[in-house]
Amino acid sequence: MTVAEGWRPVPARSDAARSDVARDADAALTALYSEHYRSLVRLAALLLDDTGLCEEIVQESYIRVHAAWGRLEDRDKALAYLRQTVVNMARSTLRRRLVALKHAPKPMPDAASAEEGAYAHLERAAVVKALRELPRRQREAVVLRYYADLTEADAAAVMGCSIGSVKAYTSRGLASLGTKLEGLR
Amino acid sequence: MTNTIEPDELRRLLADAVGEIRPDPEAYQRIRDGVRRRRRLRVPALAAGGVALAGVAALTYVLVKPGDPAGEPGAIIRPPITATAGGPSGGGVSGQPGGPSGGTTSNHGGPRPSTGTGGGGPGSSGSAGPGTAGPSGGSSGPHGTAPGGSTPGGRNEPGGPSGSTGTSGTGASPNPGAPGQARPNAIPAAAGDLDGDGRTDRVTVADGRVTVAGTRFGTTYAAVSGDPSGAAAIVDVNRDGFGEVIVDTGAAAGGGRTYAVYTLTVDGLRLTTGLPGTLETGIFGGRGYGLRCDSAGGRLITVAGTASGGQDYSVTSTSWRLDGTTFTSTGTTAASTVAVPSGVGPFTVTDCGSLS
Repeated sequence: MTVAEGWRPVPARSDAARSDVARDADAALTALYSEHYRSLVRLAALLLDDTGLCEEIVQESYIRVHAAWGRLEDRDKALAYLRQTVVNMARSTLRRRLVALKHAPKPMPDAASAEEGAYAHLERAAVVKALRELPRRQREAVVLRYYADLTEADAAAVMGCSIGSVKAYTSRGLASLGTKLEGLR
Repeated sequence: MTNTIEPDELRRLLADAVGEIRPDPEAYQRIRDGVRRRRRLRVPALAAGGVALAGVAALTYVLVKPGDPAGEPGAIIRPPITATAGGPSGGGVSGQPGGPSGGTTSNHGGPRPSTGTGGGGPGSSGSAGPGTAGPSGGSSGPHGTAPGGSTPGGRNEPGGPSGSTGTSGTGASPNPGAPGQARPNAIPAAAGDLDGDGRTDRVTVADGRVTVAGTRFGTTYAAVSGDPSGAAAIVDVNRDGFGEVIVDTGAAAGGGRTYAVYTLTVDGLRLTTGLPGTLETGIFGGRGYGLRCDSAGGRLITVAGTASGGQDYSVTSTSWRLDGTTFTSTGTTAASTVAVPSGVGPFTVTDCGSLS
């Protein structure tokens, strides 16, 4: 190919290259699903309170990361992108639910089912209830640090705040949870 | 005593709490469906976005499309006079020739009226009066918009009875007297009309200066060098609706006459520049020189001839366009051979008002 002096052809992404990216994205999607889908749904369940909604959020996060696969700077951090997307979508959902709750009728009181009489269930319900009473940032910090086992730095990156803030949120969250769960210990 | 829960205990509680959550077995398929749906939507979404963007761009262009101001009713034409001609201490336009201390003289050094400060240097002016603040571009004249400036019925009224400064016409100008809003009455200006109001202004050359008693902005003046005979004419050389003053500045060295051209600016009359040498007319030393004003064409034509034997002269004509106070050659030259059996032929002043 003859190229005029001083000009270089603009590198265009060929169809083949595009196919390669798509194949990579598909493979990465499958791998990420196999390894992390369940834990991400559980993470979302701790941030939210509706497992059905949690699954929708996590599935949408997978779809978004797949669509942005060609633009990811570091594909080794795909899980981090995925986790951050889950947290961000959980935040958005909570905001929307907050608005909806203002106009919703009062819920019926919780009725204990016959199958849920075990102590484990009580404990689980208690910790989850206590968790949901925490302010959103404290809840995120506690869940990311002690369920997702992220470092303070990683949690700060996901939450979009400083490490010091994560420390403060975690400390306050632990104190608050300790008070709320004191009767169970 | 603190109630803080231990991290390990919290980890266990959290793991137990969500341990029974089982993902939907069709979750993977749902994700794959979502990926395919997004791919299908991407192209139409991009196309719709492109169409919307093009529509916004087209609408923006229509809304802010630059128009030709000269073609619009009431459009302001920028004349050579871009400010009220002469403020209290303004340029060389005043009710009394000797009045303002900041009076602007011509580009020549020469007697400055009534100030006693002597002649200024070339191009110098007095203190910068309000008039000098006007945009210099305004003095270039509305060459391109000249036809639009001719506003039938929009005749500007003359200034106040005292001929004081700063009273531009009120005809079609929406804000008479405001800077940059003086409009010519006709394009080209009528012979003898310096200030573009359609009326003949009186020009006199005496005591080393040329003075024009204008009917619109008052009197303006400029120094004249040489030995002026007193002859002068006002002709619209650059076809901007405002006249230029052509002054007979005396006899040429070898015979014939010399001339100078002055134009009206915000600072009053100014000697024009840009012409090579002196404007001359007449035949002397085997050479001939002529001058022609082409108001319709908005140009000044100089003629130079060399005797080519007998009564024949090889003549070259050069066109000059006045832009602001500077003449520039338009590059249009014509060469011919003419016979001058008697008289001066083309080597005189032609079509330049009363000088012809």
